[in-house]
Amino acid sequence: MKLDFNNEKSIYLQIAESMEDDIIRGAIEEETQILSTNQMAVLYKINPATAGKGINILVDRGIIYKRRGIGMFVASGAKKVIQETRKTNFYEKYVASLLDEAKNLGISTDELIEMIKQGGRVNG
Amino acid sequence: MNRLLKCIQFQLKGALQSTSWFLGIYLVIYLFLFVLLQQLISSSDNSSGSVNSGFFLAGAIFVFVQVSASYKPNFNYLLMFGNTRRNIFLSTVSASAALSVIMAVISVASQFVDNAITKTLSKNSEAVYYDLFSILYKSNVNTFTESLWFLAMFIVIFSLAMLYGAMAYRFGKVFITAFWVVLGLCLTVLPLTIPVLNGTNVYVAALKMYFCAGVSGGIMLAPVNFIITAIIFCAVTYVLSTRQSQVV
Amino acid sequence: MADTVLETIGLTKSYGALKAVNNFSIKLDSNKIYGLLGRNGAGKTTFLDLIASRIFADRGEIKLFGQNAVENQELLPKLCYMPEKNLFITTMRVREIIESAAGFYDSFDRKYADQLCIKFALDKKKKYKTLSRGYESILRIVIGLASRAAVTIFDEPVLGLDAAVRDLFYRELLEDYTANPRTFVISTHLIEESADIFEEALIVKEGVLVEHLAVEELKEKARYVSGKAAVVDAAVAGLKVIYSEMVGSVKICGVYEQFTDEKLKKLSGYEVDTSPIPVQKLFIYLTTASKEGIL
Repeated sequence: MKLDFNNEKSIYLQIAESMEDDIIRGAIEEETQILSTNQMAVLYKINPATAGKGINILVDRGIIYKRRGIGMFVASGAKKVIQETRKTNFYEKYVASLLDEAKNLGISTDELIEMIKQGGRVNG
Repeated sequence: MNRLLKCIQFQLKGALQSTSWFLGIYLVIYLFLFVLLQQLISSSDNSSGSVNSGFFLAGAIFVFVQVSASYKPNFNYLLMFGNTRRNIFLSTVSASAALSVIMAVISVASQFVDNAITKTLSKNSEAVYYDLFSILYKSNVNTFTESLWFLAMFIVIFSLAMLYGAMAYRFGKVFITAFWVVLGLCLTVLPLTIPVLNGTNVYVAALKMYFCAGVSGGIMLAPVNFIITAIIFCAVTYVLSTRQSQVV
Repeated sequence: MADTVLETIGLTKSYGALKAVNNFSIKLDSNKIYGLLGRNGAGKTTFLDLIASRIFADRGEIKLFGQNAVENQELLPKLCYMPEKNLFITTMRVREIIESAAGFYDSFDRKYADQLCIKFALDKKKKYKTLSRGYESILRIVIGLASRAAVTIFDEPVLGLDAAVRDLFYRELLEDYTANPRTFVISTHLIEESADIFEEALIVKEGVLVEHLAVEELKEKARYVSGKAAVVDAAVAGLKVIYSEMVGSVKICGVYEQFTDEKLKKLSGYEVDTSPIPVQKLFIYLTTASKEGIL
């Protein structure tokens, strides 16, 4: 998990996003323990409250749960939850702006689809 | 109470360290002069006179310098560590009082040493040791009264030093300059200008009265004057320091 | 619900005609790290000197744990304030100073102090007067942290320290804070590197407390709005503008506002670019004296 302090996005949002990225990529398995907010604070040189705020977002989304006296764990099914949520935002985040830029450059929808197919072949 | 003791402990430690240095240096100089004196005496045919180590005078100057110079650093240090001005004041008085006792004891002891040395160095066995008291007082001069006199003297000196420290802390260079100018005047110009009364210089007469010199039992009365003076100095110091903002 | 450990009410201190601290009212909670931020001469040090009974206020109350704190010998040992100035006895050795400090704070942890000396490479045998400026700061850090006082205050703790040691300080502070929670107040002008350590920021400008809020909120309230001058002016109408600049024909405004959904929607309706304001710049805009030329 990497934090970029120069980034415009709030630190606690970065923490939530970063953790989600790690979960999707499989870097952190479901039902495994994650660092405590105190440990995160020391590691990333941020206030524990900020770390806590970021983690609480994930707790609210059902991605992380707390086991009293032990620590915080990735919930089972977390990967799926994240993917679902991100799919929903995918259109807004990527497709809409893609279409916008294509329009500015005069690229037709068919040309766009062709480009995507080509990219799909390269990427596999 | 515990807090006050901690402050006293700190102040005392500093004072004792300085005192050790002072005594060490004093002893070295004293021994050096002693040896020198011995050489001089052995090279002359007869000698009589007295040796006076002047410990009291050196000690008086030391106490004044030690207490006045350490006032600001100690005040700032103790204040930084969360001590009230009341505790700082009381601990300064306590540590300085302890210092006074030590200096008084050594002053008395030095008189015995001087006396003994006078007798042994003199080829003339009837040498008499003249000390400070023999000049000032006619009666009641004994170890006990001398000790009290020394103690009271050191007490008034440290209280003056505290007052000096507190004034310097508050008023800075202005006060320091004024103090030394006035002191210089008192010691030089003033005695010359104050009129003579009935054949005695008024200035000298005033001093004589304060020291109760030549008065019967004067050696026991003078300390009372000293202590009263000390109490006044300490009271003024307390008033000055109790609402004193920190000065770096 | 956090307790209030330190409270000031209407605290005022003037030096002649200058109000160094002007009607400062604040409540600080237990177990939080506060950043006290302000320009040189803003009154941060005066404020800290006041709450630690080092100087006396003209007006106002100071309460520690609910009781009057001024010259209160019972409460003062619960507050450790390491000032920017050098007030140690120059002939004392480091280990003597630490031992002395240990006597003045009941909560002092000598073992931790020793560990810190090793971590920061502070030679305990050295006399204070032989310490370089950096090591003078380190000594203050060691005492401040090891005091474990319920309210621990540092005034410019990292003066003269290189980046590596500053980093070490921030990590050590966070580590001990998480292990032994207490209230920290850190007064600094190095906003950029320390802003994320703080939970809340206290921003002082010309003796007045102009902002007291969570650092995250502070960031979220600040935005640059840029575009054609006329458009930008329309877009920021009614919003608090703290900065304004013309770059060619583009106008850039710094806006500081509690952005409700409504306000955000309105703003997005204009043809302008928005971006966050870096904390360092935000700090400058918020603390610049009215007579200095930024607006």
